[in-house]
Amino acid sequence: MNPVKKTSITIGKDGFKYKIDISIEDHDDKDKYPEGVKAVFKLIRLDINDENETELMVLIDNHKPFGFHSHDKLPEDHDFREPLHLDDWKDAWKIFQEKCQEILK
Amino acid sequence: MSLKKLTIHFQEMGDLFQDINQAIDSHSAFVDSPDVINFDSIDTYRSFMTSNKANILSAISKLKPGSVYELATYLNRQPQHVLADCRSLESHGFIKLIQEVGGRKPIRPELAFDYDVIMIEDKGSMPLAVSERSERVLADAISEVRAV
Repeated sequence: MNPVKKTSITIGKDGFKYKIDISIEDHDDKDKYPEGVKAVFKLIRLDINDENETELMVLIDNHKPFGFHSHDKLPEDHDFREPLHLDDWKDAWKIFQEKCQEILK
Repeated sequence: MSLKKLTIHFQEMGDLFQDINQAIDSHSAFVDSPDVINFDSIDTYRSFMTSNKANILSAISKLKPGSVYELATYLNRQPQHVLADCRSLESHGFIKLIQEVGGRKPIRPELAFDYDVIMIEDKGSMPLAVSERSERVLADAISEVRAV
């Protein structure tokens, strides 16, 4: 597939700014990415405190050995992964869009 | 020599997702250019780009500070406030913060690339001069307009 790499800054319903970061590209390492596609979807909350630090709110990616998974306990627990039981990165992309709508709108 | 531009483009989230879906369906590449930063609206951009942040960009371009501390000295501001603004500029894609090795490991701010001016894709917004060269060009352009 042709690559999709987009980043955009948007304001959330909580008044914080968020960075949407989308990357979908072919990947040669079929062992790590069995579908041959590396997909990473991130939603990052920006300027969260006086030091203007950031926190990752949504992260969906598909690297081995987990397959497609969502880091559902962000920002507290980066190591928690909820398997999404998906075979197609397009389904993961749909889930990410829904999560963005939920958090931002 | 022409000025190097960083362009601020506006697109709402819904439209962005729609364009991505279209690119996926039509098997087209859809990749951000490194000289473009996307915001959802001019209001979001304006609430972000304060005069303090604009001054930081200008000082980085003109003075090439070796550290955030040095930058704060140039700007006559508290280093922790300048560092906070630099972190924000970095997370939004305007600058890079480079952790130097050795010694006290200062954090050196530099522009995301060597741009002269920020062009805002909004009819009511003036370009934001960042480099000394762009200030001269914009000042000349304004005096030409006034002379007509």
